[in-house]
Amino acid sequence: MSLFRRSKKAQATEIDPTTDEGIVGLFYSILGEIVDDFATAATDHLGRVHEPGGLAREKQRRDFMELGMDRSYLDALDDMEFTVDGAISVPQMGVRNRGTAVVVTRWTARGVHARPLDGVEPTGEQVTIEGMNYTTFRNFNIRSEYTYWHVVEFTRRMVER
Amino acid sequence: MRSFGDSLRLRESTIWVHALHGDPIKGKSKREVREELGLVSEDEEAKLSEFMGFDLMSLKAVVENPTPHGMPLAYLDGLAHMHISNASRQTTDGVVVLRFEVVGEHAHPILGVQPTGRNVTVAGITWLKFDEQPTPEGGLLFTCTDYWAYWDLPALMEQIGATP
Repeated sequence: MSLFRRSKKAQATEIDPTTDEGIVGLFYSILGEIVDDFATAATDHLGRVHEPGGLAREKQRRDFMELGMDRSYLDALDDMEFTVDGAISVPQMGVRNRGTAVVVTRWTARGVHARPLDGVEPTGEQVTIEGMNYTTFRNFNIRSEYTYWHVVEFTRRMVER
Repeated sequence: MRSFGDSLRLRESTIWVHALHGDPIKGKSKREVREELGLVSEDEEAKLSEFMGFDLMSLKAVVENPTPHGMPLAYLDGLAHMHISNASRQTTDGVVVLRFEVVGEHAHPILGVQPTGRNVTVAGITWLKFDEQPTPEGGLLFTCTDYWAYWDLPALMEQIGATP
């Protein structure tokens, strides 16, 4: 039923490319690798973005459009720890669409609130940021990235008041 | 899940976003009307079913009270005359991701801010997780068990003249 489950099965068994089944298995095996490659590229990129000065460095390597919300938390937090909670990778398989994909990543970042963040004065306390990125690739490079995030503690306080 | 994704149309994902926003779409779809009238479908779903070797009509997906994660959809109580749209959709194993936009009038308090009567736009993203179960009829039922939503809170607060 699932391409990706087939791909794992194909990877687990020996593939004989001289048979129809083998060719199909090979296709799914390659697809699985492409899916993993894009997911790894996007999550590694996000990991680097969350290092000190990381966003500027990433944009210097290969510029891309930043869409959605401004990532103002990057400048406001110190000692940030970044964790990927989940990612999906959807590559385009057409020959003309080689290198085109969308990767969506759910993540959590923790850090010390050391500088003003969206009008909130620094508290010196550890805060948790949760968010999601929608990263598009063209020609195997990041073309655009939507970012949506919130500070869990701030949102909770706003909802409760 | 890929087969589910292939058969997933914009209408279905729009229905889900409306369901998550407490504003369910009512009325029958063109497909339901065609089924009721016994018309032979020649649309892309029928062609896809033939191509894939099984009946895609036997696949159903439901979004009913999934467990929420991420940001609460706190703007819902404050907006009237909402228009909800999908900006894009991605589907893979057990997950559907939708980027959405909600336009509405600030008619009731939102996060403690009194109504301004302004028209506001809220953009966000939601990740819906589905579980797959076979049905007694031999089909498959995809049930949304959890969803994660993140949306642009600072932009909304700015539009209604509030500060965090």
